[in-house]
Amino acid sequence: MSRKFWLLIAAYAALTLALSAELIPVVWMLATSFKQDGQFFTDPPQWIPTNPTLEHYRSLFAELQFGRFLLNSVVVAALTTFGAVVLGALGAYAIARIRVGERTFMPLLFVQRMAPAAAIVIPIFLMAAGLGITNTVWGVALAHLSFSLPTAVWLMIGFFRELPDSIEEAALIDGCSRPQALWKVVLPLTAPGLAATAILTAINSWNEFFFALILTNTPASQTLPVALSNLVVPILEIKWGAMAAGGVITVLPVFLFALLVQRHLVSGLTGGAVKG
Amino acid sequence: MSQRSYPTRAKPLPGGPRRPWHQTDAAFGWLLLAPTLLLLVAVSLYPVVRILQLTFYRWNYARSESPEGFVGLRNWERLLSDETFWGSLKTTVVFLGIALPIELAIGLGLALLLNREIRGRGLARALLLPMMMSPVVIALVWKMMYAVPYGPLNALLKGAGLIEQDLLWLASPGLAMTSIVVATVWQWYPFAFLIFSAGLQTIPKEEYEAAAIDGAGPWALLRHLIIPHLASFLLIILLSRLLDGFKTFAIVYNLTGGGPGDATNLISFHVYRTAFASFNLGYGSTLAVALMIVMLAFAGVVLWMTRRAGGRSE
Repeated sequence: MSRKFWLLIAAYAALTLALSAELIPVVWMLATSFKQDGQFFTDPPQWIPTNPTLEHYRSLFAELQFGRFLLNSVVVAALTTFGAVVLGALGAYAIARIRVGERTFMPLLFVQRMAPAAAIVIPIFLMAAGLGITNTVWGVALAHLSFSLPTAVWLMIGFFRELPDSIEEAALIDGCSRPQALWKVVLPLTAPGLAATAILTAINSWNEFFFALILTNTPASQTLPVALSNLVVPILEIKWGAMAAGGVITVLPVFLFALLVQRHLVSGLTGGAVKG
Repeated sequence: MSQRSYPTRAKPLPGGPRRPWHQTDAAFGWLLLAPTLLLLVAVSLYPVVRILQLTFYRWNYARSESPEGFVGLRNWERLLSDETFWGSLKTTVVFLGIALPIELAIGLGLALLLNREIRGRGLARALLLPMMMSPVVIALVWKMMYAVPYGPLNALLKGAGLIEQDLLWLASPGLAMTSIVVATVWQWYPFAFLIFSAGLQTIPKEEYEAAAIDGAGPWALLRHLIIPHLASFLLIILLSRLLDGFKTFAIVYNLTGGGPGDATNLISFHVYRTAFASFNLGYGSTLAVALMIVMLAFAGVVLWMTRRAGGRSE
């Protein structure tokens, strides 16, 4: 057999192994969320529940207030995304197309990248306390903007720069003002990139745990990751079924979103460092 | 795109009336940028300045809602002799020193093996799912995998004949670090795979062909063509994962709580415990600034080493 053949076998073996390793734990979570109480850990383990139940999903919403947490997460992600994409698009346009302010923006981006959340969370917590927005979705969204906004600007600078200068120049010569050129020509042409930025911003805000943990301690304001954490690290015993169901609910929207932005996923996940 | 075509006149008309400054492009640009800059100053630059300032104060938030008094360098003196802090720094370096090389090795190996036109290569995209999951869900998933008794991971390992007795993944001091390393590698080696794959795509086909004509074997190909080409991609992965790695928090908080003992007391978790579980904002700030300095130092070393390596190969 040729070397090429063995390399092909090796490639498939590695792909199969990697896929099973990445998916088995996720499958286990999914299976557990449908198991009856008492079936969670058995010998041999049940990879497919024998008599599946929706009881844990029911109790999440009926008893554990997950409807509320879901709503909070949606609101925080929406506020963060709206702020980051609207402000970020304007800022990125100024940097990429009008060519002002890059030397002011880059040091701020650097500060944000180097400052760990553990450091800036203390002043942000004090700021939120001063503004009276601890235990509100506003406080969490403000904290999420601290990392979402610079990342969104950075990504969108890349998208704006991909657009040839000639298109906008043509519009300006045609008699468009700068605001008109931005609104009528540049934004429509970069819309796919902006949409991808929006979805990635939403995913990051949706998943964020640290700021949300510190800025909220009431059910009325907590997001899904914080509520989920209360099930993972409970005061009493772990409710495995409800915990797994909560995990499924938290990742499902992200997976759906990810399918939508497959094409831009690579440049998004790598912070614009690599074009997909 | 619209159907309309733009006339291509070469230049704007010269000698037109000068516009007042507030109607220039630059003024418009700064106007667009202003909200972003102001917000970033408020939520990024100001917090860094503020936390530097707080390191000089004594402040227990449980006792008082404002700083309790200026203490000069006392917090910093305490830091120097704080064995828990240095211990957690060492634990973090050990954690990164194990996890990052494994992520790089698996990511590179897989990228090399899959860098060909084969059926089903698109399935590799599914590898990215854990990267997009909340760190809380990562911890949740592994809490179930590591469960004892009858946990699925122990069952799989027993089935494969690798172990005979259940391993106490989270409860034994020796294994707890391994447990968070496994969960971290599981989530993040696909990032290395993703970037290395993108890097391999940038090597022109002609260079492989030229190397083949020169009679280069697979090993020479790897050493003289592929590795040099991937150096800048390696830097992206290393810097990004290093900075993220120092921020590792949710996995520790949800999986081990820093224990058993201080076996997994990573530095970000330690800062959290000091500032928010003990409400010691003054000393907590000092720990946070120390963490920031350590991160800057590590990032600086990585950049310096790449520059030196780059200088030598040219």
